[in-house]
Amino acid sequence: MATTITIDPATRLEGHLKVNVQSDAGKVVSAQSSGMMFRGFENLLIGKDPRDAVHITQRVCGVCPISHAMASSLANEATAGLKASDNARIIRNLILGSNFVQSHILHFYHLAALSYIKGPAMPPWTPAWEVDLRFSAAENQLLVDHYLEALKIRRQAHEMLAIWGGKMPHAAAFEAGGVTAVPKADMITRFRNYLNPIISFIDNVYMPDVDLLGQTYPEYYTIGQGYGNLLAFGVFDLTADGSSKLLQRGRVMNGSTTVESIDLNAIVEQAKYSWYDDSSSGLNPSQGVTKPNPDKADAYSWLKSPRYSGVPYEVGPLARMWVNGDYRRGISVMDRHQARAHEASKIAHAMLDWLSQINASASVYTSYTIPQASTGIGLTEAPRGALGHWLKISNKAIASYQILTPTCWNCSPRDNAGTPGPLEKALEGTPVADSAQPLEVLRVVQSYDPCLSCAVH
Amino acid sequence: MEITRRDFFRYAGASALALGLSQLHLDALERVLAQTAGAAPVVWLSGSGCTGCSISLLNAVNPTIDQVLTSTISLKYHPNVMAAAGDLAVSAARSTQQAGGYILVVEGAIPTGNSSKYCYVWDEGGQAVTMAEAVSSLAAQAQYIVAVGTCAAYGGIPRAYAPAAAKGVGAFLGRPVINLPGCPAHPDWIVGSLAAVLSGAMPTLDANGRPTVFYTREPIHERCPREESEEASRFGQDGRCLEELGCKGPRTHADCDIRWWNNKQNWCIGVNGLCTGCTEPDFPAFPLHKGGASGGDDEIPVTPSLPYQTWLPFTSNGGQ
Repeated sequence: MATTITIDPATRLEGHLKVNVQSDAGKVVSAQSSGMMFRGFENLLIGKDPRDAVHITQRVCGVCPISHAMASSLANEATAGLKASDNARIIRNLILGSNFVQSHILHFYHLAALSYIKGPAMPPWTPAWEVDLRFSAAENQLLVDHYLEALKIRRQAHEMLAIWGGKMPHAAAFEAGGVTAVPKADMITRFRNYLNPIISFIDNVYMPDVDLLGQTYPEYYTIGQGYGNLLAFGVFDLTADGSSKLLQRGRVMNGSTTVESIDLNAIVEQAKYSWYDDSSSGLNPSQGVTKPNPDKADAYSWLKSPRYSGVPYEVGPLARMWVNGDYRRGISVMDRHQARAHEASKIAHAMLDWLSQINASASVYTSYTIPQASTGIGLTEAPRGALGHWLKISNKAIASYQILTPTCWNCSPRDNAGTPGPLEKALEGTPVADSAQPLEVLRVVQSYDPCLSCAVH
Repeated sequence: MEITRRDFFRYAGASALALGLSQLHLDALERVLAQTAGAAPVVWLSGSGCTGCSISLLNAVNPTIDQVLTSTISLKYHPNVMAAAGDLAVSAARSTQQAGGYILVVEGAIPTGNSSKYCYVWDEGGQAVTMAEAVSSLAAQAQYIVAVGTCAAYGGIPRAYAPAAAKGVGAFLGRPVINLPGCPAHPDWIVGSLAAVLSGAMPTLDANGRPTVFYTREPIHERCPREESEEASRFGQDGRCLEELGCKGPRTHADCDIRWWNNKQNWCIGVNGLCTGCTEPDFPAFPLHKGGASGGDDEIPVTPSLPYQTWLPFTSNGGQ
């Protein structure tokens, strides 16, 4: 006899997420993942200056605004067949890389860790579900100390970002055509002076802490596996044409090591169980529309259901690192934390190289004229996974703007065929020792680093 | 040596503000820290927003966020950082509400269209509770209400999607609140204002409810170091005035040119980027870019501000 357990709010993630699970004999048998807030970016952008989207879409998410700035810049540039200069590409990568590093550190320590450790004896660290705490007192204190140190490190990663970006969150330096920040020697020096201690923290504190977590909670290398389908658009272009990236584009099915290509035409967003008109369901983002219907019966989420050839895919650091061949240990809660930490290290080290490639006298901006009518797609990655902006311009104004975010893939509701989304699937089989304190469920949810403001937008 | 009128205001304003801020921080915080028995309870509700203001708060320096959380406030409810989830989290908010004497902080706008179904904050007894309901009930018992970020202050970007009828907190409640707009709000504006409220030194507010110590009477442009520089003709030119590209410095009231961002690493105009006017009630005032044919520039109606007049002193009930 299954009991339904509701976690609402699901906390220590971004945005509004409700999770329902049906639990039978101490195990989850089915789950529903619900995004609970809608703002309407795709609708409010219609009729606006396409260049404004680079600034406005950053506000889809205060945790990953740079990724949206990147996708919007690339989409705008694609409408005009424009490639930003090498300097612009490198500076964009430094701004984006700084935020990836910040986001991953924030996620592990300040979002996920409190589901495994006991924090200081005061709010916001109390009250808590104090169940299944396995660390020794000394280990717990060490992790709390690292939590506090990580508050400083992630702040410094944003300071490092702002050297080029101007302000964070929501950076002023991105424009369609390039960036606005003109490089100077002291900016490079200050960035490097921030970056070296951050690299040291990632390699000597963050990564060992993830190992310690995995050793202490080893069954989480088998919990939360999901479908094993992984997808990445790729990110951090190393060449002007984007053919070589630090993390490449591709997808795998069922945890395979064979990487397959991505055909964007195979992507649709279904909406049978989403609070949108059924007429808008099943469209590729290039044709997509967003028609909210908050009263629709049987719908239970503001997220649409992105599917690739009808199949749900997981996106995120694990997907990127797997597709790139950098991490293939397994697919699970703990593998997501491991891949995220490994990726933070990979990106942080790469940024040192990129710094030395900046040409102080070369251009950072190429003039962009809005086309009369055109379409363009900007593909990149947010810390949480694959991100795309699909832009259509008519009469030099935005005629259509569809955004496909990582958490929309990961936390999607059931699709038109009733197939659960990746998180909904991953929750199946999760043990629940105490239905009043379903911490195991929260641990699975948090492993995806959900961002619901992005997911719905 | 000749000093222009603009130079004088820039220098005088900068030093006064710099002094004023440091005094505000030191005096207020010392008094607050001296009465550590019962750090002030805070309930932080998140509505139709992006969490950028919370991330910005995490970027606070002097004091840093760990000092704020352990010494200055008792953060009873905050969905992004609190340990509790589900029913346990909701009961933390409701028990604070029952005890009274807390500061209600709101981040994100409050959608009111279609029975406010565009934003639910939690489940209570099997019922989904909207942001509108949560703000209404928690506002009733709050000692002070602070709207952090432009969305919470004036509706912000969510207000541009008309069917949601997203409102700022003051407009929604019909009651004076302290507005700390910005997209996001600067951590100094948040921490400095909270410290002032907690110490009883209520900041002077302008007609839009913003503390004038941060949201300056002069717009940025009148103090901008580039005000007399050559005009930029395109992006990517270093050190030029960006007015012809769309910079909203001439109509934006904030101290970004003095305070800079992210521990003084840079600021929007400092990287030759546009000021988008993000502290203003009509943000986003489309179009953000000038020059080059652009599409529609619909006027977004500005919700008239409420007059902000008398304030009750904050009385600490010893917290919880």
